[in-house]
Parts: sequence; structure tokens; C-alpha cells
Amino acid sequence: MNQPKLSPEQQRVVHHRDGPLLLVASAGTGKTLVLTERIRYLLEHKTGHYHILALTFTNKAADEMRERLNLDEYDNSVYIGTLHKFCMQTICDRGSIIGFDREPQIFEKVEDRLDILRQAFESDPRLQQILKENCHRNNFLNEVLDAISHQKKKLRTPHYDTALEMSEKSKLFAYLYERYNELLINQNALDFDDILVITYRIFNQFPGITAFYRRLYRYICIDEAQDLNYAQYHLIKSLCGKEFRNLMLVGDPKQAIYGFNGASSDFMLKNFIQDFDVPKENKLELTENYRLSKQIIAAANLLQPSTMQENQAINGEVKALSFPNEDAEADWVINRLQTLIQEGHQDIEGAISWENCAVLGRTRYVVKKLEVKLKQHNIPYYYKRTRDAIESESELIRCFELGMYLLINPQNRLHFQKLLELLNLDNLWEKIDEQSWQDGFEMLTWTANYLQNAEIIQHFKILLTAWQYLIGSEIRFRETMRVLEKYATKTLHDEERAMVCNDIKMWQENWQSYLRQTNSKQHNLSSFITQVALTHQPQHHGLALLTVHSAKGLEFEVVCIMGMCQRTFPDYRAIKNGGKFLEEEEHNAYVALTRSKRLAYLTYPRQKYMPWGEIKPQQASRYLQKMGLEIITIQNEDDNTRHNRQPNPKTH
Amino acid sequence: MMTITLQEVKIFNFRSIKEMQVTLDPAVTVLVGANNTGKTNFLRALQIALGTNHPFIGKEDIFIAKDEILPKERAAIIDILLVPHPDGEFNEVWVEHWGNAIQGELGVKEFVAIRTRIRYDSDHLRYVIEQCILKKWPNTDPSFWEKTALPRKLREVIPLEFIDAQRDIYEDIRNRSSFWGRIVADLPLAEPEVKEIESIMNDINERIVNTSEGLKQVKKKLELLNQTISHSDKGVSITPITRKLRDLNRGIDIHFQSEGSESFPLSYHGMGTRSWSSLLIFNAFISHQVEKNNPYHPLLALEEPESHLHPHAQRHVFDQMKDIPGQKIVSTHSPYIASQANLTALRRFSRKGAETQVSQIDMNSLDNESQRKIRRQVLNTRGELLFARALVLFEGETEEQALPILANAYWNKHPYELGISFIGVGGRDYLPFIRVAEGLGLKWFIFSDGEEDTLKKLNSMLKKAKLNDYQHIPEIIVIEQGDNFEQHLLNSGYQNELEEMIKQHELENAINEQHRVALENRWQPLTAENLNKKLKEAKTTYAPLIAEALINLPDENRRFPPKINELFDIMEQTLNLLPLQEVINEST
Repeated sequence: MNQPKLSPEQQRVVHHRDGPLLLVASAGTGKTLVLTERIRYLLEHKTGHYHILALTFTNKAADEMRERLNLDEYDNSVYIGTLHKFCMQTICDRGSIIGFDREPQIFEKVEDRLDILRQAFESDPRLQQILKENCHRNNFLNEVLDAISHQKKKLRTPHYDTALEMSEKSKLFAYLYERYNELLINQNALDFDDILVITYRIFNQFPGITAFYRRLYRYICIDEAQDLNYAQYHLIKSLCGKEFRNLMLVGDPKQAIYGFNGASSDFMLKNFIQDFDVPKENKLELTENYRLSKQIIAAANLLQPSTMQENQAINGEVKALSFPNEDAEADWVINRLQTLIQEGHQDIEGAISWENCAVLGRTRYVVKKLEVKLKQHNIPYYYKRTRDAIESESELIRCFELGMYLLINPQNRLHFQKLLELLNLDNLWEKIDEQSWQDGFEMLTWTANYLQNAEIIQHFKILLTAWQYLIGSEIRFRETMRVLEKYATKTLHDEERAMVCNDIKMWQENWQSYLRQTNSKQHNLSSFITQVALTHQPQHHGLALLTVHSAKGLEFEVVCIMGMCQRTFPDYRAIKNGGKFLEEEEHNAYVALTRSKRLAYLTYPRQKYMPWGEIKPQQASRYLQKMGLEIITIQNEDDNTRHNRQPNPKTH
Repeated sequence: MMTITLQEVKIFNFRSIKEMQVTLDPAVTVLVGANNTGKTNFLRALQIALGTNHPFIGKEDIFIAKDEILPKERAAIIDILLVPHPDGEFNEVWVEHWGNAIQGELGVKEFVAIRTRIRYDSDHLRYVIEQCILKKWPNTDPSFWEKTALPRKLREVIPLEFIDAQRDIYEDIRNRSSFWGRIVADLPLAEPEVKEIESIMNDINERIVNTSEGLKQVKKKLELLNQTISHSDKGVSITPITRKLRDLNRGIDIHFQSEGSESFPLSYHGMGTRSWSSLLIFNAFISHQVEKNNPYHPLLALEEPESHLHPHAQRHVFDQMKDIPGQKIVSTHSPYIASQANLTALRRFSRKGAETQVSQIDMNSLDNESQRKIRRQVLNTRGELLFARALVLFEGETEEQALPILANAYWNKHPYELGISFIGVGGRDYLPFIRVAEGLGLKWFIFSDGEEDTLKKLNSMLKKAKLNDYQHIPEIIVIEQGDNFEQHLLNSGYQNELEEMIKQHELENAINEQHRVALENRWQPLTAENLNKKLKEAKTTYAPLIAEALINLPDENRRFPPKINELFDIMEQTLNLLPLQEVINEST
């Protein structure tokens, strides 16, 4: 295998042996390369006998590292996987010591967990009484589940201790946590939070096991350390114990994205430094950029002033182009990609395939036109979904979608919480346990009483009308869509209206495809939703169509970012809300651009057809200007070569 | 330096083994037992689990009870337990190798347990071998199976080499896959060197052929053949020595010279030397491997190291075997080899119906003195008892001579055939024998005099062995009223026969026929007292005569005195003596 050439600053990391190491490495500085090369170095220049533990954030990153290392050669002497996988493995390997004789089953669904909790109540007459007296039984159960989950995220095991000064409620919850866990364990099951909690418990309760892991894994490397949360960091800390110091954290605080999970780059930048006494000389930073071409670095540095050093070797290409309309834009993108695939590019080694290319849009509708054309041209492509599995893009239809989930299952706390967030009703959370509803619709109606904002009240009124068509023995989805469409036409404008219309169109298509695939007697809402979820099974073949959010962590040789116009990217909502929303939006633009390693094409249509037929003129995204790009104005869709250069708007 | 031990093996449903657990010695484990008791099956099981080339498997490898039809879903299970040596935690080399396969109380009592399963694969219509890691030891559920990744290279790192009784260095030399062949093939020569040597060898071949008129003629004539068949003039080559280095093993011979004799090639030597040499070559092979590999824990399953060797060499071969690196498991029928083994390392195989059973001496119950006694008094002198089914113990000299003859007459078979050892302990203690017998699962009987002192000693011995008083043990036959064997005969109405026997014996001392007639005429009937005295004076002389006299009595009912009858009766019951014949027939 040919060894990649390493720069002096990369070599320092690769040749680091013992002692804690913090590596701050921004996108494209060869972070993954350095990490894998360090592992390779530790494997090829062994002093003694050991394994290496490398924990990544995603399975994809683990696969990539494994592939780069050519793992067959090293076989089992290095473990590469996500922290959750490692914990699951640990529970499988060592769980018998705390009663898991077989691989435990993971209860991810709220329904399963609720079942367990109900059993906990039934197992004790006193608890039965409490539940009986509580008039809002379901909400109460959900509250308990949340409280348990919260404790687990803090790695707290149940400690039912009356001596502690706890409120009656906390005491009860602690006791329930204990009973709930006993029942889970009796069924050889775990909930998702448990995976970390149980591993943490094994590591703390059985020093022999942790000592064994330290004997086995003399070196531990953590990738994407900026996204560590409380539980994850403390789990790693407990694995290392007091004496183990060969821990390496690699991350880029600029790329911290999983904030919702309690993650914070503080764990990497502060706790780690302090807890492991990381000496100054072991705090390293990679600044030279290798992944990204000179052009991309230049544009990215302008967008977000960072210390990314330039890559002089590969020039690359970043171009901004505007087109008469979306059709022309899509045509050009296909054309350009086809040309590149046929002819290759001097800055890209080897042949370019569809798999090396991606098209990004701020939302999924930006690439809608393109998708149709790809189908016509028989070009292989796939659409990658984001993690939260919500289909709709607009607030109105997101509310509608969440409401549908609640109609199917009023116990669905996850989606109810999301709905309340969307409605700005986070504070309502507290009142939920006092309530009990017969069904989802009653629950939604109840929610309506608390709405403050006039616009949202108006929205919600129409949503209730729409939902009403979905309850009862016969669901009337077409009616629902008609109501929403009419409302959108009447009250919404511009981007908002377009987004809603696109969402509606998508749901209509979903419904059509559902009708085609099922017997009319079997139609019901929950089978419809299941069907929708099933048709979006991920695949990874051909050209990737991505939204900014689903593109996280992926890299391509060529990236086209479509719809680079104001109010699309930045999104109109970010503009409306301003402040930190706008900041985050700029972050999104940075992420989108840096998905490309070599060539980036940022395109936009000078005018857009609204779903209702209107034509709206579009302006170049402010980010194009910020990236210092000249916008090439393509006049005629038939002739890509004849164009005149529009002066940079900045010079106006 | 050994760093791990194969400590325990548990087998379910393999061949004659329905369920069995055997612990192994870190150095040499010695398996004893009669033929067809399952020793080889045990070694074969180990070979299937760890062997470098495991044998063909089929439905014959699955246990079936008598009159049972083999259920397709029955699988044979071979569980092995590997522990650090010395106890505690695996060293870093093994930790690196096994990683998370290591189980147990980590850092305190670590182990790696591997289950091997022979199962009928209904998709492919054949039996297959599968292996998985066990997280718990022992796992007594034969149906338990877990999909865990097995440590890689198991058979390379813990290779078991099975060497059967048919080993022969002469055959090994001709076989490329033998240890000999593997050593010879492992030439650290680079390609150019190989070419160079082979070209020299070709030159030599040519020179030899060219100097021989006969060979030249042969070559010429054979070339004609070639012309008619292939029309090529590649020619025929005749190679007195090998042309290719990789065929070196064929040309090599070992010449072995014993003191004061000419040196002979191995093929001229007897099977003893050839068999022994084969073992020494294995030692060379493994010693070489030990230097090359780490981690490495070789296992040797060796059948009958004694084969073709005379008794003195048998003792010697055991010492040489101990020197072979790794853990050895040896099956033997040689008392010389068995008696040299560590007491704790002896495993006795026996059969109960169609099933194999294994027993061993529980050393925890024995102090050093007892162990020494067993070694000195039992193994060094009576090693053959390890192969018996039952021991009959007694003190008297008369019994020692008479009992085998009586037993032979009683069952119409020689006691050896019945697997019974008659052991006179003389003035020594029964205890070491009882302990060995108890430990190894041998049945034992005591035929004791009734003297008060003797009985006192007997009971104190039984107490030490944590057994009941003799009165409560039916396998202990005691002659009543303080009598010994001779007195028992006199008291049981054999006075006339004994007197006649003495008379005949003394008459035989006559110088000639006249003397004999004279003596006979002068013969005076003996008083009971005198009779007893005479018998006492020449116990060993009379013992076989007494036995002969008894078994030749015309009245069949009187041939066996009451106490002898009592002893043989209980033996017959306990040992189920008639069915023994059936067991042997069935298994062959």
C-alpha cells in the first residue's frame, strides 16, 4: 500500500504515542487521514501487544476508516465503530455479570416503554392506587418516562433513598425508575438510553472489566469529539479511569451540530484538558487544508473567517451561475455533470462517477425539478433523508404532519413535543399531565386553547378542519388537501406559500401512491403513514440529492448547490427571525460549500414559477457575494457558452 | 514456557460419549482404560475442536444409545476451556490475540471457552463443524448456541496434532504432509538460490545418466515412445536424484546406527525404532514452531507411545515425551508409561453399557505421604491394575496363589480376561489401593482373615478412607471366628481332602517307587493340629496344591469353600460378570 505523504504538522499527530492528545482539525485538514494513519502507525510500530479502540460518530465514518486501514491486514487488533455500537458490544460481551445472559433487546419505541411502565404500576398495589387516582393517566405515564430518560441521560441509576431530601414526587419517580428498570432487565431488554447507562455501570462497578479493556485497548481515539455529550464523555472517562492517559480526541468545534442532544464542544475543549491534564504541547491543531481545493478554501474562508490554510496544490473550481429559470438551471447541472463524467477533470484523480457527485438544495424542493429531469434522462440518483424523519418542509404542513402522527397514536410524546415547539407552546408541557384525552383529535383541540400568536391561531383553526377529515371510519385525505391548499392560496404569500404548496403536492403524491398500492377497504391513516415511511428506504447508488441537513458529514468531488438565491438560501424563515438563526444559516452555507472537495457550482434561477403559476424574480444569495464569487449570467438555456459576466454586486 | 492451559473438556453426544467432563494436566495427561472404552474417541473429539487437519465427520460421530434411531437434530458438542497458566490473567500476547473473547472474572480468573458443534446441515445434507465462544463455563446446555465471532486462527495458534499408533518414520519420509515433510519443505531459500541448487542437481543427474550405459539405453528407448505420442522432442529425463528441491523429502533418508553395529537406513530398523523416531521428528517440528510463533500453545494427542517398544524403552519414551513443548494428552495400555505419570494426571476411561465414563483420583483428599505411598506401593509395582475392572485385595500368601486358580475354575476364564487383578498386599496397607480404586472408579473387594488384630487394622484403614466399618461393606469378606484361610478350610469340612493333598505331596518326594510305597504304608492320619501346622509351615507350597485339589473335587458343590463362594458371588453380582462378554462383543 502506498503511504500518503504527510505534512510535518500531520506527522506530529501520527507519530504521537503515549499521553493524552487533543487535536483540533477543521474540515479538509486531513483529519480522518491523520486519525487512520496514527492507528496504522501504532499497529505497525508496536512496542508490546495491544489493540486500539477508535470511536466514530457515524457508522459511515467507521466504514471509511476501516476501508482506509485495509483492515483485513490488522484483523481484530483494532475496533472501529460508533460509541453506541461499542457499548452494545460491551453489554453483549460482559453483560452477564449484571444479568444479561443473552444479547438484550432494545426497546426504542415509546409504546414498548409505556407497556413496561404500566407493568411497573401494576406490580405494586400502592402504585396501582396512585395511577388510579390520577385522572390524566397517559400524560402521567409519559411524564414518568421523560423523567426516567432525563435521569439516564445524566447517567444516574435509580437510587430510591428516602433519607435524601426529595419531594414526594421525586421519590415516587425514583422508585418507578427502579421498578421500570427491573422489569426491563427481567425481560432481557434495554431502552435506548440504557445502552450508555448500563455500560457506564459495568465500567464503574467492575474495575476488573475496565482494567481488562485498558489492557486490551492501549490506545483510544475519539473522532468528532466536538459532538460528545455528557453521558458519552463521562462514559469514556470512566473507561479510562485514573491512570489511563492514551486518549486522543479529534474534533472541529466549528462543526458542532448535535446541540440538541446535550452535546457540547466544551467536553473536548475544557473537561478533557482538565480531567486528563493535557499538556500544552499535546494540544495540536491542523490548519493546512488538503481535502479541499484552493478555490473552495478561498470561498469558505470568506464565508466564515477561519484559519483554514490554503491548499496550493490543487486549484479546483468554484463558480456561481445564474439562469433564466429553474428548468435552465436543472438542465445546466445535468449537462455539466455529464460532461465531467465523460471527460474527467484535471483536478480530480481518476474517473468521475455519479457517486462522486452531489446536488444540494436548502430544502428538498429546490432539487425537485432536477429530480424529474434525472428520471427522464435515466440517470441513477437517490434522495437522502434527514435524521428526524419528518417529511414536510413548511411549518404549516409540518404541524399538519405531526398532528397526523398524534391522531394515530396520542401517546406519541416525541412528536407531540415537536408540535408544541413548533407552536411556541413549550411551556404547555407542564400542564400535560393534568389532562386526559379520549383521542388525538381531542388532544389537538385542547392544544388550540393555549395558542397566543394570531397567525398561528388562524393556521391551527384550518389544521383542525383538515384533521377532522382524517378521523372516523373513512378517511378523506383529498378533502384535507383541498382545505389546506385553499387556505394556503388565500392567506400565504411568496416563499411560504410555495413551500406549503410543495408540501401539499408531496403529500398528494404520497396519497396517490398509497391508493395504488392498497385495497380500498384497507385504507386507514396508520397504514398510510407506514407506507410513506417504507417508500423512503435509504439507498446509495448514483447521484446524491441532498438537503443541507442531510449532507452533514458527506464529501464529494463535485457538488452543485442549486437555488442559491435570497430567501431560499438563506431561508426566508432565517431572514425573518434574524439573529442566531441567520448565524446558523451562514453556518449551513459553509457546510454546504465544504461538502465539495474539488469543484463546486452554485446556481440559481433568476426567476421562479410559483406553484400557483405566478413568476417571481429572484436575487442572488447574499452568500455568493460573501464568497467573493463573480456571477456568470447564462442568458439562454440552449447556449451555455455565450454569456456575459455580470459585475459582482458588491461593486455596485 | 507455557502461558496457557487447556484445562477442561466437556463433551456431549460424541461417538460413545454421551456426556463427559475431563480435566487435563498442564503437562501430560495420561488416559488409561481397557480397549473400546473411548480413549481414542476423546482424542478424536479434541482433534475435531483444535486439530490442524480434522478428520472426516459423519453420522457415526453422533452418540446413539442402544436400540435408538439417531435423531437428525442431535448434535455432538465439544467444549474446551482455556485458562492462563499460571492461573489469573492472560498475558498481553493472548489478550491481544483473543481480545473480547476472554471471559470470566477479568484480571482474576480469566478464561476462553470454545464450543465446537457437529450438526446435521439439512440444507447441504451433510454434517458440518461449527464453533462459537462460550461466555459461561461450564455450559451444561448442549443446545446452547451463540453467533459470536471465533478468535481467528484458533487451529494455528492452539494446534492439536494427533499422532496415532500407526506412526512410522519410514512412511513419514515419503509423505509431504507429515511433520517430516513439513520440516523439509520449509527451506528459507530465495528463488535464485533454489534455481541454482536445482541446476546443480540436474547436472548431477546428467552425469550419472551419462556414465551408465544402461540408463542411456533406457532413455533412448523411452524417447521413441515420446515421439509417437506427443511429437515433441522435449525428451525423457531420468533422475537418479530428485530434480526439484520441494521433493527433497523423498530423497532424504535417515541412517541410524546403534552402538557397535553398522549404520542402517531406517527401513531396515524394526517398528519400535521407526515409531519412536517419528515421535522425535515431531518434537523437532514443534520445537521449531515454538521458536517461530507467539502466541502458540501446541497440543499433542498421542496414541500408545509404547507401541513396539520394549518395557525399558517404554519408560524412557515417557521422559522424552515430557520434553516435547506444549500440552500432551496420551492414551496408553502400558503400565510402565501409566505408572510414570503424575497421579493427578491419570484419567481412567471405562464403559457403562454404550457410554464412556471417566474417573480420576481426587488429589485434594490425599496428603503427600499418601501420594508417595500410592506411587511406591501401587504404581511402581502394580501398574497393570490401572487397566483392571476390579481389584481383589487380601493379605495372605495362600490367597495370592489360590484365588486366581479358584476364580479361573469358577468362571471358566482367566482372571485377566475378566479384568480382575488379585493383589496380595502382604504386610502393607490396603489404603493406597483403596484410594486408587475409589478415585479411578475400579470396583474393589477385600478377602480378609478374621484375626482380631487384622480386623482392627482393617476398620481403622476404612475410617481413613472415609468409609463404613467392614461389617457394613458387602464387598469385604471376612473369615469368621478369628480364622485364617487354612483354618477356614479345615472348619468347613475339607480336612480329608487337605490331608490327602499333603500326603500326595509328601509321597512325591519319594526317591523311587519302592520308597514311595514304603512312605505310603507308613502314612499316619494327621491330627487337626498337625494338619494345621504342616499347612502353616509351607504355605506357598501348598497354596496352589490346595486350589488344584479343590477344583478337582468330583462334587461340584464342594469345590468352592463357603467364604470363597461368598466372595465370588458378590463379585459376580457387582461386576455383572457375564454381561462383560456381551459388552466386548457389542463394541467390536
